[in-house]
Amino acid sequence: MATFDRGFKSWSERTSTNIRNELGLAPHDCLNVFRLAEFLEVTVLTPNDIPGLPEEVLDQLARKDPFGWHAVSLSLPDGQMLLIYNPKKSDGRKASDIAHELAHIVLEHKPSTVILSQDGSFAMRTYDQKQEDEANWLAWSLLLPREALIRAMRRGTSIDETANLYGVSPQLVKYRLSVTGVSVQLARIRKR
Amino acid sequence: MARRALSSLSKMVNTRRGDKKLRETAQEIGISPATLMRIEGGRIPDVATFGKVCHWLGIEPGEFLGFDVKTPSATDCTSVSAHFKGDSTPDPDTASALGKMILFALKMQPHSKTVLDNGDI
Repeated sequence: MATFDRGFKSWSERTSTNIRNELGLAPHDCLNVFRLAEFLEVTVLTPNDIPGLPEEVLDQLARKDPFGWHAVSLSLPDGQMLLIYNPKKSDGRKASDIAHELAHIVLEHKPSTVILSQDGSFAMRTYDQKQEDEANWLAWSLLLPREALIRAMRRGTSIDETANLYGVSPQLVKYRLSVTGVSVQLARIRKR
Repeated sequence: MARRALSSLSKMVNTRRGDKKLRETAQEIGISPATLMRIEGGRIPDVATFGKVCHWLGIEPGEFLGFDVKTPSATDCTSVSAHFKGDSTPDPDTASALGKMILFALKMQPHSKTVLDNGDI
């Protein structure tokens, strides 16, 4: 179970509201991840968009192990941010993957160091579990803020309808209803 | 320096562990049993875990990288910075393909320069 610094979850909710505000959206509105990327000045690509990428690399990432990776983001020397995502995933998973990478950027996380041998046969990276947990939490708060969950549940919108409305997976809706306490909160109100 | 294949890591770990329990061995190395199980299954560990496993095996990490860690050359390895969403112990071929993809992505810019840094190993 991930543990966060005190106040991180509340900060994530506020950030979600503030970003929507900047984009002219209400706190409960659906947030399109491509629009968020544009707002953050991040160029979003798939492996097919990278010129000259060898066929064996595309083959590994798209066919041999299409579900073995999610997304990568990197900063170019001129400061431009690139985000490369796996287009083979479902729309809900793609949104989650892209939001996760954008969350790293919003949080100004230190990127992993990737060590590559010159012949390309070897690649290894550093891994920071705390940063990954924070990026997940912020990403999911951006996609499904408490305001959106409360509104959906009050209106009697089903899990699948909510997922469809916000472009996420039904699993994420169920997870967020549970971890944000919205399910319990609304159940208590209904009992009164 | 002769280079060991990274694919030999899982076998080396498994041989060294012998009949010892997974949990006990993981504790000895300083990693989780799940991570040890993934390494024995041929997955690539992250850099910190790799360092711990090499220390436990009594070998220099540079033996896998093909250079002497004490006197590394800037041309032996390239280090770039990126965020990843994915398994902490990816499939070796996928890890390599992602590495190559990053190098090609960096080349998309006319004046891109890769930072050479062997200090993290």
